[in-house]
Parts: sequence; structure tokens; C-alpha cells
Amino acid sequence: MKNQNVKGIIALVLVTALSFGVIIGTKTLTTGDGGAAGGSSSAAARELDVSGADSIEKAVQLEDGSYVVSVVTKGYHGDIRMDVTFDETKTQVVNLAITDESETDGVGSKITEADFLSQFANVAAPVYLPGMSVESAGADGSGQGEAQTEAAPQPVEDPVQGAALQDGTYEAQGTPDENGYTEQMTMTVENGAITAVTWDSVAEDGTSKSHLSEIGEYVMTEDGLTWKEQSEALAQTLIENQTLSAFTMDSQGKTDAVSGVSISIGGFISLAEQCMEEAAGLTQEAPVLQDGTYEAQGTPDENGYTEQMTMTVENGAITAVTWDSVAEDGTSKSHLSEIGEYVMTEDGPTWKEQSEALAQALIENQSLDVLTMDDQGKTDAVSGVSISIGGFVSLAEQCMAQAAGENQAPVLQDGTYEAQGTPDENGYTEQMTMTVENGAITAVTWDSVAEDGTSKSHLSEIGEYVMTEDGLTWKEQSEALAQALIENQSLDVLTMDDQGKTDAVSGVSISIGGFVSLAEQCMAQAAGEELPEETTAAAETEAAQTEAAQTESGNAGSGQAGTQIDAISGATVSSTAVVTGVNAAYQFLQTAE
Amino acid sequence: MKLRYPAEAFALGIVLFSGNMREAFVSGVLVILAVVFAQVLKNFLKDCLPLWSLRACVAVATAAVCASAFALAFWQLGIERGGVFWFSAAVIGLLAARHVCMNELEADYGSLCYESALVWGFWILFAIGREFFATGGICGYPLAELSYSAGSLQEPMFGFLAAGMALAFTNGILKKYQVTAESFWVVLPAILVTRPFTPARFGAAGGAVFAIVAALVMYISVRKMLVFSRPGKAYRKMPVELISMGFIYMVLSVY
Repeated sequence: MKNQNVKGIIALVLVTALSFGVIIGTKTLTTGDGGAAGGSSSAAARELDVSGADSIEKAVQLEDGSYVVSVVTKGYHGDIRMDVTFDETKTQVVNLAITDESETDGVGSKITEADFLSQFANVAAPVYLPGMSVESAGADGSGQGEAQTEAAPQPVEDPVQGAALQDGTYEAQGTPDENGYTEQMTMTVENGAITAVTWDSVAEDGTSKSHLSEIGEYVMTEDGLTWKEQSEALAQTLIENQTLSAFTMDSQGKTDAVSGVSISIGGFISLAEQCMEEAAGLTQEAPVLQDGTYEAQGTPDENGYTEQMTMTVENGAITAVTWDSVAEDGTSKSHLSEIGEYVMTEDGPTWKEQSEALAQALIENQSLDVLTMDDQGKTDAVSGVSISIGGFVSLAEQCMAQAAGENQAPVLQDGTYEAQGTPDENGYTEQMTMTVENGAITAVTWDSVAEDGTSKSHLSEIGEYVMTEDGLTWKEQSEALAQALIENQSLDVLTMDDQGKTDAVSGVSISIGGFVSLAEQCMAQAAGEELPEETTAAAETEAAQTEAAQTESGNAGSGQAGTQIDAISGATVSSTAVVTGVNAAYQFLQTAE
Repeated sequence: MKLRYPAEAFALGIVLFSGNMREAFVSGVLVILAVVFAQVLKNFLKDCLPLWSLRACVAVATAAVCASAFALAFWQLGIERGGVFWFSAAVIGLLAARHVCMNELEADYGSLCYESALVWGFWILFAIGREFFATGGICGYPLAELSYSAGSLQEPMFGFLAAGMALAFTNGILKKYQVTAESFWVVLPAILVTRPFTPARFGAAGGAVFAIVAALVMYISVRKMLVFSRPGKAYRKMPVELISMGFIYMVLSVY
């Protein structure tokens, strides 16, 4: 027995010693972020007080002086939790780890991937996404990021600014929402003052939200005001104050200016603005269209189809619109859809029928306002139309502008015109020569020349300036842009995104900011105009910066403090949430003791 | 032949703590510590206390020591775990105590440590495999960028598979087959701690109950109704039941 106890004690001591050894050895040999358990391997030297910081869950200063801040932000589906590590100066983000997220698989969930997170390694705070200002990224001192900025209601601007209102009854109507409800407002002005306002939302079958809320079929909350009561409360507030500046509205259309109102008031404000502007005589008159037949044409798409439109105006009104898409061989989508060789859907209207429906909608409304369009160019304003209407709208705008006498192309004087940009940081200076004959641009040459006289077009020809292995050379892309300008006699077709890229000319991947800027200068010279120097300088600067941004990452073109982060494609909300969280952590550290 | 090592305690430890090598290293030695402590305590007290009191004392003490040891070790390694971690570690201690109380080990610490070391070794090997194929690295050191890595390898479903195979390999080497080990005492706490799915329809509590009941029902049905195609001796009873539980988790985790 005694032997057993002695053996047991010895065994226990040995195993305990082994346990200590294993634990210490494991701690020494492994890194802090290994394994599924994660967690910091550094002991926290000091924990910071996070009370009062809504999005900050925990903040510690480690033994090495760095800081780890645990932040929670609102993502697309739910909360995103992250640990942001800053250096001892509290200004540089050392590491970012996403500890919990529930974003969409394959989209927002990519915020946990190394490709995205590596952008936050050893970068200066605050951080922002392209197109986002540091302030909107939540690094402006609010400590809460974009969420708080969005949540704070802002006063509504009064559209009439105290102008006298003419007596009368004014009406305004919105566009149908996704549920088929259309907001309507009637405003009565007597003796220069608003005396009555009626705001309702009416479905296609005539039922109104005010009626449905009265009979209990449209319930906002169990205990709160009905929709009708809230609508009347808003109307009463406007009547009492005679101005829209009495209202506040946050980014979600909510207001805290009227007690009991929890519905979105964006529609109310918008319609009230229209009525008040009309009453004050500030409404923009629709442009008068000159009788005639107008044509517009787009640029060939990647399948070789070119959209064309013909619009007829009689007695100041649009009476006929024809929109088609024609291939290089002359075949049109309308014809192909009629003979069944261009099928949109098995059961839906043909392309031609959809085109005619759009044309009819434009003729009926005499305006493109009714053709609301989402990001993908789709509309639900015309029944049965599922094709993209971006081209239709663009060509219709051109035709209507021609009919209204706007945007008349300036008359170009014959001659040869030259323009030159400023040297970029690589020493290349863009140059353009434009020839005008009989009032039309007949030749355009665009090149980029170094200080030693070598040009990008020459270098690209001899293979020393390669854009992509399979794509067009720089010279070929330059010539393609020039050809597009000659064919269209206008720069309008050369649409450009924020980075100076265009998808209007097939095969062109280089930045076209410089081309556009120099072409504008040449055309202005040909038209006998002078472009403002600021515009020219700004365009050249933008072109140079855009070109520089192709070879450099970071803040080359932005000029903001902090670091620019590339968002995950298709996951803007998730990316913004992460950036907001990082900035919230940064801001917390700046204000923490 | 009698099993010296606490198969149920090791099995539960492998299910919960074999996702990476760090946890496997530390958890394995702490299970050995728990069973040795339980045996020592039992030997000290068996002449002083009635059987029921002895068992209760050993169970409580071992559970407490095991839970505390796990907490200290994981804290030292900087691994943060939720509240159920305490429960998991305490149950491991209880299972170690159960093994000691139900089996007369005759204070054969040498055999106990030898067999425990064997299963601990397989535990570590499986943990290395799971961590490498899930993250491309071991102990936080990136070794390779794998295009086929899957984070789900560190999920409990693969813990069950690892536990079953580790016990089977150990039994095969020792040529011992589990007679007294009961997989239910492993599966029940594992299901309570790591539910395979959580239906949102019934709320938090209702969803948890539903998930636990569903997993248990499937486990019991497998034990009672499923006829295995003559698994090897080393795989019979607990190892194959744990492997089956792993597949049940895979199926249920679809939801």
C-alpha cells in the first residue's frame, strides 16, 4: 500500500512536471496566431477603458507597447467583429484579424481572406476605400464611423428659401416603388401660406396606405401611430412651420423632428419640395422641343451591335421613337427577334416588342423621368421590359437635347491643332495633333513622348513598352481612340470611370484622361473657344495622377491622409464595414487615455 | 485485456481539442495528468472512505483539477475559449475519474502512462493533419499554400473521426479491445458543447434543444440499428460509433 502511494506521488509529480514542460514548450515554439483557437500569445499589459465607445468591445495595450482593439461593426448580414492591432504610436495599423462574421459566402466573407486583410498590414491609419473621403470613412472624430454619421439626422434644406408662394393647389407624384405603391401629394396655398397638405401612397389598384392603415390592414407598430396619423402629423408640421427645414432626416429617411413618426419621410420631403418649388415658381420648365427628326447612334458593343435611335418631334411633342440595335452586317435585333433568332425569354415579349414598349412609354410621358433604371440598366417602370435600357435612355437624351437646341456641336474651323500636357513623374509628356477639314475631325494623333524623344507608340511597336501580353499595343490603343473620336466627331462616347478607364472602345485598357483632355483643347481651339486654364490644368493633373496610379498603389491620386484600401468586388458594404471598424478603433485610440 | 488508458476522456478530448497541434499537445498531457491524479487520490482514500464517497470525492476533485489545469494552460497559451470550455474540461476530468473508479488499475502507472502516451501520440498526429490541411501551416507557422484547404477540417465532425481512428489505432497496437468504454458519455457532452446546427425557427433555446435531440436520436439509431460490415476488432464498439457520429455531424451540419 505504502509502495503504491509512493509510486503514485512520484508518477503524479513526473506527469505534472511533464505538463508544465509541454505547456511552456508549446508556448515557446508556437506563434500567437496559430490554430483554430487563435488569440493573442502576448499577455495584455494594460486594458483600456472602453465604456462610452459603442463599437469598441475591448482594447488592450500589450507588453510590447502595441495596442489591440476589438471592434464590432454592422456588416451586410450581421455584425462583423475584428481585432485591429496598432503599433505603439497608435497611428499605424499592424494587423487586422476578422474574428467573427456572417457575410455572404464567396462575397462578403472574402473579408477574412489574406488578399484583403494583407492590405491592412503595416499601413498608416485612417484607411479608406476608393472614392471615400476620410471623413465619411469614420475617421473624423465621431469614433463611430460611417454608421453614426449615417444615423445622425440632418436638417432638411428648404428648397424655396423663403420665396413667396403663389396661391393655388399643387400636386406632385413619385414613381412606383417595388411594391407598386406611388406616393402622391396635394398642397394648397392660400394667401401665400401652405394651408393644407395631403400625402398618401396609392397602389396600382387604387388602394391607399392611409385607408389600409385605418382599417388595420397596414400596421406600422402595435402601439404607435397608424400610417395615416403619421402622414397627417408630417403634414401638420409643414403647415405649422411653413418650411421643410423644420424636418430632420437621416440617411435612411427617418426623422426625429415629429413625435410619433417612424416611417421614412424621404418621399414626403421630395414631393413637398416639388410642390413648394412649383408654388414659388422655381420649377424648371421642360425644354421646348423643335419640330423635326433627330437621330442618335451609340458605339459598337463587344458583339458588334450599334444602337440607333430616330425621334420625331411634331408640334413640340415627341410623336415617334424608333430604337434598334444594328450589327455590322446590317442585321438588326428587332428583325432577328421577329424571326425568332434573337430570343430574350421563351414566354416574354420579343426584343422588338420591348423596344416598342419603351418608345411608347417615352411618347406617352414626353419625358425620360418615368424610366427609372437600376445599376444594371434594368427598369421596372415599363411592363414586360427586361432588357437593359441604358442605351435607349442615352440615345433618347441625345435626340431630345438636339431637339431642344442644346449641346449643339460647335463648328470646327479647318486647320491643324496641337495640344500638349505636362510631364508625368516618368518624364513622359502627352501630345496630340488634330486635323479638321470641312468642319469635321479627319485625323487625330496622340502620343506620349519622353524627354529623350522616345515615344510610347514607338516603344510599344518594338515591344519595349508592353501593356498586356495578348492585348493591343499602346500605339494600337491610341489609334483606336483616335478612330473613335473621328467616327463620332465627339468625345461624348468616350465615357470614363474614376480611374480614367473606358469601356467604350474595344481593346482599350489604358487611361484615356490625357487623350480626352488634349482632344478637348484641340477641339476648343478649332471652335475658337478657350478652355478655362483651371479645367485644362485639372484635367492634365488628373490624367497624370491617373497614369501614375497605374504603376503605384496607395494614395497616389487621392491626396488624403491615411491609406487607401481596395474593396472586395461586389462586397462594398462588407468592405466599408471593415474600414469603418478600423477607423473606429483608430479614433478610439486617439481619444483614449 | 483491460484498458489502462481512459478511452472516454481521451475520446472527448480529441473531439474537442484536436483542431490544431497546440491544443492537442497541451490537452493530451493534461488528460494524462487528470487520470494519474484520479488514481493517486483513489489510492490514498480508498481505505478511508466508503465506496460511494470515494467515487464522489475522486470525481469532484478530478473534475476540478482537470478544469483548472485546462484553464491555466490555455490562458498561458493565450487561447481564449467560451464558457462551455470549463464544462468540457470538467467532463473530461469526470470521465478520467470514472475510468479510474470503474476499473481497477492496480496502480500500474507505467502501463497507464505508456498506453496514454500512445493515444496522445495519435491525437497529436491527427491534430497536425487537421491543422495543416485546414490552414496550410502547423502551430501558426505557414508551411504551404494549399488550393484544397478547408477550414471545416477543424470542425468537431472531424474531431469525431479523429477520435474514433486514434482509439482504433491505439487498440490495434495494444491489441486491446474496449469492453467497458461507453461512447455515449463522449457523445452526449460533445453534442451539448458543439451542436451540429442551430435552427433559427425555434429561437435560441428551442433550436439548441432541437439540434441536441436530433443528433442524439441519430446516434442512438446508429448504435441500435445500423449493421456494420464487420469492422476490424480494433474498430468495434466505441471507435466505430465515434466515426459514425462524425458522419452524422457532417450530414446535420448541412443545415
